[in-house]
Amino acid sequence: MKPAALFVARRALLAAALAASNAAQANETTHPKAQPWTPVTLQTALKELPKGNAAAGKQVHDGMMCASCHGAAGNATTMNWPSVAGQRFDYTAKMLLDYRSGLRDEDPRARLMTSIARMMTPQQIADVSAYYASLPKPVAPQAQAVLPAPLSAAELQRAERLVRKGDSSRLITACASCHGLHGQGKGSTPAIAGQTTDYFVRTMRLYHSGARHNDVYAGMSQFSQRLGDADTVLIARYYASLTTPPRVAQAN
Amino acid sequence: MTTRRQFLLAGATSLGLAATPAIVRAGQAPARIVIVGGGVGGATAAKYLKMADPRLQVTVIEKNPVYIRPYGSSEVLNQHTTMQALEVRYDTLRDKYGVTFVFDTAKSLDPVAKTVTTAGGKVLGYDKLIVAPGIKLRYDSLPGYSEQLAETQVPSAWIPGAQTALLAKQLQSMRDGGVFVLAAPPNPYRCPPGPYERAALMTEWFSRHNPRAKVLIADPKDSFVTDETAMLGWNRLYGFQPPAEYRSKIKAELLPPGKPCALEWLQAKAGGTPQRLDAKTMTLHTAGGAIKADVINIIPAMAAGQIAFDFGLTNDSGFCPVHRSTFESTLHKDVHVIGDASIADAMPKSGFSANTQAKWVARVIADQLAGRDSGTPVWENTCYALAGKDYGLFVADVFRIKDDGKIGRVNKARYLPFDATPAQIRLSAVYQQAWIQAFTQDIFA
Amino acid sequence: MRFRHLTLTLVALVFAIGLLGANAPVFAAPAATMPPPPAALPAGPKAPPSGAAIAQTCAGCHGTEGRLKAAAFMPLAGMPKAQLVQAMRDFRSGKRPATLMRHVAEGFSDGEIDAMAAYFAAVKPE
Repeated sequence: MKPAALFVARRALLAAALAASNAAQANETTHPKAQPWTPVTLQTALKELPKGNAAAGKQVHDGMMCASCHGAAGNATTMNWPSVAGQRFDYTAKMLLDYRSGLRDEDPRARLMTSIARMMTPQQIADVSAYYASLPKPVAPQAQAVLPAPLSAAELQRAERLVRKGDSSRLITACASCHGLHGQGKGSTPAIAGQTTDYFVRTMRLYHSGARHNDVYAGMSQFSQRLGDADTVLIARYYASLTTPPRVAQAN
Repeated sequence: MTTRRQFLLAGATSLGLAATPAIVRAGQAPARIVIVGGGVGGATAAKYLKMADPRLQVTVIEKNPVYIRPYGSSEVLNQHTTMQALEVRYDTLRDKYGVTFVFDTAKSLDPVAKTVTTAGGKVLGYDKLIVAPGIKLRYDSLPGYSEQLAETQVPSAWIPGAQTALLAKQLQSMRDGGVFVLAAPPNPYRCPPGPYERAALMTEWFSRHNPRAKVLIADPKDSFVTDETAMLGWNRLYGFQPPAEYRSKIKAELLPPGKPCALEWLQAKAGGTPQRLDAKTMTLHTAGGAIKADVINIIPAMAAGQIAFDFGLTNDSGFCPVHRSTFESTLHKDVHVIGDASIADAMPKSGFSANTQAKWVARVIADQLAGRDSGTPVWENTCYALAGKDYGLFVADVFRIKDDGKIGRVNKARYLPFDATPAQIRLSAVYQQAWIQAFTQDIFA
Repeated sequence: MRFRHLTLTLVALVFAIGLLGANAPVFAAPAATMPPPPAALPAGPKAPPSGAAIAQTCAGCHGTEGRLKAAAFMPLAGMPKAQLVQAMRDFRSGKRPATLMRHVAEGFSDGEIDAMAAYFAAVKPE
């Protein structure tokens, strides 16, 4: 590269670095305790993100090797990592912001995501969120062996009742009231149809223990308190089955 | 007993074998595999033997009841991890896989009677023996140095343990603006990028905690594995200026000289070869002159672990010659030598090499005992290293036996590309940490 | 001199924080990039290593038998054969970005990749 062009490139580098370095430096070196969201602050932050471009988002997904855990097209290949295909823009963006600020830091996997999110510019966050939102909702892995057992009729009935009606005796609100009748989510409440079971159960447990606490007004913490282990697993299997084809082992 | 023998014979017959191995036919008990050394090579072999055939009697003779992992151990020095985090237990190998452990030192080998005797007097008979003793540090290869000095004043910390803790303490309490000298080893040695990673991590740590400190590498060599990519990282992170001959090799824009870099690499041709240690005055004498330092870390020349010598498995090189296709010793039958102690041609002396060699030998032994053919071997060494805690690089090689009968690489590209993106660089550092966990699980869990 | 020092510090900072775009090289490298991928290794007179033997070399990162829970690498146990074959080919050609998987994939022929993928496809994930 010619010296003059290099000089110009370096100046641009400097400008970009200077512009963002203060905020980033604060995160990196002092880790101020990330402030919990309120609905207003969340909406403001999401509005402040630049417009996301799905095609550019695919470049981010490729370049940052998101597929290693989240799957080649956002469909996780095991029940351990979350699928991100078809996830709502607002939720994906919120998660990346939460990882970046450290508000979400429940376990070593989250801290890995923090390293990654801190490498991303706001434009990249918007782009990759747009990319995942542009994908169809999760597809089941073809490996039958990883899939959870199919629900029996009785289990399906119980799961559907909990999901659609809740359980007033345990003060459990219906999941569908925020996550939608088909688990498609709403606004920044995530789509959970087709989500992987181990990840689902682990997440509910982490909300239950308080290790994960990036939900607005601790909503999820309250629901996970009352659900219990057996029903948590049941609901995880229910939501996992909401893929096409169903994300449960086919009964032979 | 009879049932088992009938079962084994039935198995052998059903394989349609004309000549059943004597071990299967004559023995009423399952075959006995003794493994000397519970490090990466020995532990991997134990686990994979048991996976291949749980009936095999696998016994590991190991001096230390708790393993302290060498890979990633330099990260204690820059406070990125703790001594405790280096500890790995043998419980899962013992309880889940059924490996027997004898915590003792293997003293002698009788290759005719096929027994190993320990320092405590235990005699173990084997059908197959795997010797994986790692390396020994030849402290006396540097005049003025000794194991005693390494334990008390001038640590080596190349085999992790108390010396690692001592070196960490010395470095972290070094006086303001002090000098840290690392004497790099001559080839061949364990973990080729290791000494340079250690120097770089300390340079990074000093930049935050002791900004006027200096780090010098006194080297009897002029190059090292990953040198080009490591030095590109050092240039970007610490303003390091690579030696002249590297400037054309490193196909990326280098930052021009700025303020003097805290890290210096004294190649052999620049007089860096360590010649003598004067511990009393904390001076390292090199070919180019005397270097007075506050902390001195000597990584001396190495040879196969002492047990390999005691067992008569070494040649003049100080390492163990083996048949490439089986890693069986050329000097003693039914004795396989793997890991750092073996002569494996192009394969570096690394944990990953030991791990893939161990798996191959476990396969070969299990197959031999069952009368199966193991086919063509393949090995790998894929190793991440750090130029800084967020700057990763690597060497990645796939090995086969080449036409000349020696083990050689089959891939062309080996290193992090010069045009690697910041994401690839940062993720390489992330993967380096992930690899330490995954690798430990593959061996011990 | 001062400008250079500032550049050095800030660029070092940039590297430490990784602010720049994931795909933009920080330093404008000369046009030379990775060499074109080699053709698939020819099948020699010797038989290739078995799928099982190859698969064992992957375990140091991808887990024993490809089973992996917590580390940041792709679990391989039970992965459909076609998926793993495609991934390895895409790594080998450079179509799919990676850190060192391209280098590893270069070490194996098409047939060997098939054999390794068949092995992992048959492994029960847990």
